[in-house]
Amino acid sequence: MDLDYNIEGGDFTHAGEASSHLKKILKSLNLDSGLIRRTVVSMYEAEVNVVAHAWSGDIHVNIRPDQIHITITDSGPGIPDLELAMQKGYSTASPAVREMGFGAGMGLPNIKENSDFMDITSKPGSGTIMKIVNQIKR
Amino acid sequence: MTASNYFHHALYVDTTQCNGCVHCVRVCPTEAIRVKSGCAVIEADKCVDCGNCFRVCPVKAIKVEQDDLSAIFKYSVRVALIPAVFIGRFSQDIKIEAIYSALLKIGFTYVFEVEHGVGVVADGIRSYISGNPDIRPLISSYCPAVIRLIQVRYPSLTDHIIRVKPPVDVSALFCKKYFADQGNDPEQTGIFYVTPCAAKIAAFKSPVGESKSPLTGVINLDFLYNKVLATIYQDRDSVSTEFQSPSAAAIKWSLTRGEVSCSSVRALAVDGIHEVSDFLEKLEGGQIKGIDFLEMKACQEGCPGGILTAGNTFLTVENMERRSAMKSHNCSCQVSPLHYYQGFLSESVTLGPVEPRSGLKLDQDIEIAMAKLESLRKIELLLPGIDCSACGAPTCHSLAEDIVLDKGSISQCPFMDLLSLNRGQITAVDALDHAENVWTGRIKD
Repeated sequence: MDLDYNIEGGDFTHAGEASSHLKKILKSLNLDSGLIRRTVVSMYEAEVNVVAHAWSGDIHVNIRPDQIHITITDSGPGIPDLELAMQKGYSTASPAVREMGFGAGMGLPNIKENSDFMDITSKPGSGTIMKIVNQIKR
Repeated sequence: MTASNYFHHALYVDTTQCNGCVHCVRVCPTEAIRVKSGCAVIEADKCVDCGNCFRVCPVKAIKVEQDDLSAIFKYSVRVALIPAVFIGRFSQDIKIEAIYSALLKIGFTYVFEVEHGVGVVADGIRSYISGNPDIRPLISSYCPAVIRLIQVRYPSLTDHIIRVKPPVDVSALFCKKYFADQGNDPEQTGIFYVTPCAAKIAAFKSPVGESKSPLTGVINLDFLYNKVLATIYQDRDSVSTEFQSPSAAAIKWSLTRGEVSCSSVRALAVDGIHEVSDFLEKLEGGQIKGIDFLEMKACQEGCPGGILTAGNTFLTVENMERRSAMKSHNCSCQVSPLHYYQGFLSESVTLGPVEPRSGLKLDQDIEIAMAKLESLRKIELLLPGIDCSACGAPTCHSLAEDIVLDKGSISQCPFMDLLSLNRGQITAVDALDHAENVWTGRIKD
């Protein structure tokens, strides 16, 4: 099953709508509530990343009987130093973004913590592709 | 019987009154109601007893079950366990002594206010919050409709519910022990709680996190209010009765922010079942951070908004606030009646685990659920998407869900039937038959 979402950069008000929609879908599939939570939390953080840093982005979710694949592709500035970006508390968010309660530097570490597999490829100046995979145990 | 297949509900549909108007269908926070054969049907697995259907029913067809008041006379010790909202329901020119003495005239032998138990509960909450630093935010267990909503719709949050019993249980446990210690036969002691809502009746009949409720029975607040008021009017020169009010803070416990104002951590109060639902949705999605304690009440303004409180919500709130202010002004150094039982009650205040009961799944098996979800999405694209409820379901999405769960048919949708009629797939007689299935007796020639 495939689901697609578009995300607009800078639209903090609507950040979270895509992950809320995914949550309803996953609940109807009778998945473990802990797995749903981990998946939705990691997707929400990824959504906020696109809103906070990129100009626009697409999320593609592919649900299989054994795995959930989430691919977030954005057009944005990209991440120059991935290793640094993965560190807890490291943030490049602008003061304006921080004032809204975002940008504490926990986004990427939180995604890593809440997913079974995570991969980022980024081209500075053009964009970032993030892949998240969670296993469905039966 | 396990939690997942047995739930007692205090709300039911009077089929002789119901005219199938779908007001209730559209306000149910868990989409538990459908209109079938001209009558509303509540799905037991999804209902959380919040009472929203009761509020909007134009023909009073949603009823709240009621224990017979005469049941109290089976006991020699008859305790009326009244919440502060009961006193708040009466206008301020009626003295509290008069209310107490009317309850005694009606047949109770003892009147005790629920909020005396607040002190023990507040201590319990404080130590639960500091003892569980890894779970944030922690959610109050006060409102039984909220607990049920979490079980049905937000099962991953059940471990956020604070495992401390509500004040009514603490006060009931106190009364039980107190009268036993006075030499009364526990079998002859009846403790009757006066409830402002249906959810608390359901909580008594099928408790969550407890094997058995310490209460003997439940009496509906609106019913007892009428009885007490009539008794006061019939006999103005009531004997003055001695009574002890709960503390100023305890009187306000059942109001919105009543719990939060006793908290020293970062706490938030949310009221109204739909607002609670929206908040839990965001919380479950990891979108809300930095809150330690959540007070959530299904009714607006808290218990004064309960469906059995029946009076004007805001007047009741004002009465309670005023009583609380007067109590803190006349601070006599009375010892709480629970004082000598503090140790026993603190030991008994712990609530058992709250089990999830997901009401949202399409199938147990994920592959079948996925296939159902695919066809659900296809059906949804066919439906008009205007959520008119003419099919008897709250939204086009919920009709699509009913269809894939074999609980409904696409012919319930009048728009789809018009299309089929136009295509020559069905006859006008078929279309009328289909409408008759939902709206029995409502379509007249």
